[in-house]
Amino acid sequence: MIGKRRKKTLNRELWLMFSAVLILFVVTFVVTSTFVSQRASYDYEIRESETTINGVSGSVTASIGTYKNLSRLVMLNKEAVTLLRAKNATISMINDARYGVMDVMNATTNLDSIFIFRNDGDFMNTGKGLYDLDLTLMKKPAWRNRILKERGGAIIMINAGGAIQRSNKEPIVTIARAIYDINSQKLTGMLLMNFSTSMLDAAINNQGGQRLCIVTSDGTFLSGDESVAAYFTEEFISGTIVHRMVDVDGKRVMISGYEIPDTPLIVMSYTDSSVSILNNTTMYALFALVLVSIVAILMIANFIARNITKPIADLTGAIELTKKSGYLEKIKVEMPDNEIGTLSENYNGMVEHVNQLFTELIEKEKSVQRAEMRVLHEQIKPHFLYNSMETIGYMALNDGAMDVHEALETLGSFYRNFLSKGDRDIPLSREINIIKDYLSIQKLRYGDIIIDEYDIAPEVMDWQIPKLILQPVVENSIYHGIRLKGEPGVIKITGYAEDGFLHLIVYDSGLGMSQEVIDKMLSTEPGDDRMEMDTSDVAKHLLSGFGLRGTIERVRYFCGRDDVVKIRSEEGEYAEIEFIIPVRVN
Amino acid sequence: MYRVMLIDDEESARKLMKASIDWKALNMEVVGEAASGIEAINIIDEVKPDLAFVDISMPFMNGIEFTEIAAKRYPHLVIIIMTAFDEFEYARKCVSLPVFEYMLKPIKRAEVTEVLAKVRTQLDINPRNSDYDNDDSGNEPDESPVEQIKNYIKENYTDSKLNLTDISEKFGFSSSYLSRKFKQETGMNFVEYLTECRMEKAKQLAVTNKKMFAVANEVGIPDPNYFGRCFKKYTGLSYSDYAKSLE
Repeated sequence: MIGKRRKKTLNRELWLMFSAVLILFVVTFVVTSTFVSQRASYDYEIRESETTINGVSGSVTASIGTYKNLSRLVMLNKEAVTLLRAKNATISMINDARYGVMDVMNATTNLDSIFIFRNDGDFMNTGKGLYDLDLTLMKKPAWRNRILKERGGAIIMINAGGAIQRSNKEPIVTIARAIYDINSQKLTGMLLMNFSTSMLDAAINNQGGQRLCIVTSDGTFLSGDESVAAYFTEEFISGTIVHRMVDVDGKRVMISGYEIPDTPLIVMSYTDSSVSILNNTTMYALFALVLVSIVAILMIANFIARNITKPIADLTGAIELTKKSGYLEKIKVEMPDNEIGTLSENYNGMVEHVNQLFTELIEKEKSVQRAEMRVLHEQIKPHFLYNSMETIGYMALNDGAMDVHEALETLGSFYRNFLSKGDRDIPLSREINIIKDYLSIQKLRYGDIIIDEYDIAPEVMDWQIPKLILQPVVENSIYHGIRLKGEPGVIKITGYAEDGFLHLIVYDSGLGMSQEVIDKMLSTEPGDDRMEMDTSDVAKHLLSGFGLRGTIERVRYFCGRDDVVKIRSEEGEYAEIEFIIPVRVN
Repeated sequence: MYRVMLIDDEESARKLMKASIDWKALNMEVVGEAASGIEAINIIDEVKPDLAFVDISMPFMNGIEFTEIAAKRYPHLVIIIMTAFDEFEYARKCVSLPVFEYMLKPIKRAEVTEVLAKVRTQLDINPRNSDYDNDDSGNEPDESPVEQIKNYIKENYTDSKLNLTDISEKFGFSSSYLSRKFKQETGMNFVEYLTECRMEKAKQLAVTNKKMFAVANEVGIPDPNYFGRCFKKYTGLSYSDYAKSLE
């Protein structure tokens, strides 16, 4: 009914479920803790990088502010003003101006060079190296307007917007402004002050170990850690601090960028998350929590297993055993003192009740059987019968009718054995005596058509057999075998022991039985003893006889098994019924 | 010849037994019959059997009760119990009884003859082991005990189990001596005297118009059939006729 599919057990399901819960728990823990720690480290990185960038940016802005003030000093320099006011510039005027600004030049570190252009294109310059000027570019309105737009205010450019370049290609930071005459307020020229990128170094160095750099808005490296410049993108030109997560050799790295206000300078920072945010104590605490949770889950699982699933498994096991053993037995397994214990007790109570009912039923059945037997016996009152026989016997004897007396004696002997109460089992010898008496009476009736023979091994004479199992068979042999054949027939009783079994064979040379009848006789199916309507009259007659089938049933019951009766027959020739009965010596 | 007594309430059974067995061939003779244990106790001292066939189911005193008494008083008596099968197990339970054989009814001559042959063999081996004739003359007292015995009978006749052997034992005589002495001095034998006592009492009771069975019980013959026979023998009238004649 269950087949090969493995049966689900509560215990297995329980452990499966708890394993699943455990795995889910661990996975959730790992994922969330990783996520939280990443999140924390991300926040930390953002905080760190913003602080750094703001620092750098502030510091750069401050120094640029300083330099802007410085440029005003240059602009107000008397010799420079003279140069710009003159209708035509002379060499001496240019030299004077150069000397005029020399002080500023000398007093200011990082100041690379100063260029002052007149409106007519003449210019003065002083510097620390060789420069390539693009005068054509400088005449273009686009370039000029960038500076003029500020109406005297300073703007920050790189390499003067492409107009001035150091011959060695080192980039320079230019502060450019238009110069207006103080008195006439007329545009007189332009001032371009160039600073070396070392002016930015201080701002970066102030921030300590952080990997930082400053680049131009086209990504050209100016100062700091040059490797960081490689991560430049135009996203950083946005006016706010922009963070980008980048994979570097499989590591996640945060690159942050910020365009310093009013400059073409971009501060970039490189922050990797190698710095552990969660310290050891926190980790240990978390780990301990996980451990405690696992232990707790295992304990709960174990508790449920011990108190619920194990007892239930035991209970079903015990019930299963009972089922196999064929009759109801109480559960003897120790049960916990809880609802399961109550269940077990109730089951036991039920078993007891059912068993009691069984016993009562069996008792009732037995007493019914006994009552039926009693009724059978009561129908013929032995005393009345015997006394009558004695009286008639005496009458016969008195009249000299010896054969009548003898017949009565045999009849008396037959009934004496036949009607005897008490023992259900009798020795074979007594059963044989019954048969002999029975047959000698029958012979009185039917004369010489019956020839009886006996071949009983002496050692089996004392063996116990169920009472009256041979008589119905012999009766069957006469009425359905020999008499129907219409000629004299032999009835032979054979008894012998073989392998601890008593073989009793009743043979008759009568009409025999068909296989159909034999099958019906040996059928273990309960139900109507009679054949169905379509069978032959002989068979019907046969089965309605003295309950040969009932006798077979009794022998089966006595032996406790079904294969104790064999019937052999050839129709028209003979029939042979064999009982195979286990030894019971009284 | 060994003496055989048949005790069975069925007359036909006794008759059949008597007629169907070839007693002479067994050197036996049926010398007495009783229809109840009561009657048997009463007459056994007269019949003096060597062997008794006892039917179990008899009214007033069944075969078992009789056997218990007889086995005690007549230790040499061979007792064969006859029983129908439905009483057989009951009889078997009384295994303590010194019964020679239990036999099933209805009888089968072959079986009975076989058992009787065995009985005969036993009796042949222990000849004259009789409980009735062991005349022990050395124990005869100087003073006759008969008067004493008569008094005892007058006081105890209501005891249905009373008989010669019983009293002999009580007084320490052999039953044959007592029997002889009793006859000598009273002119009647023991049973006749006992019956006379009982019948005289019965005649007195008949005046009171009592029913026969009640009277029978009162005088120590609780078997009314046997009582009836005794009464008729003694008075010449049946009890009912006698009672009528008194009116």
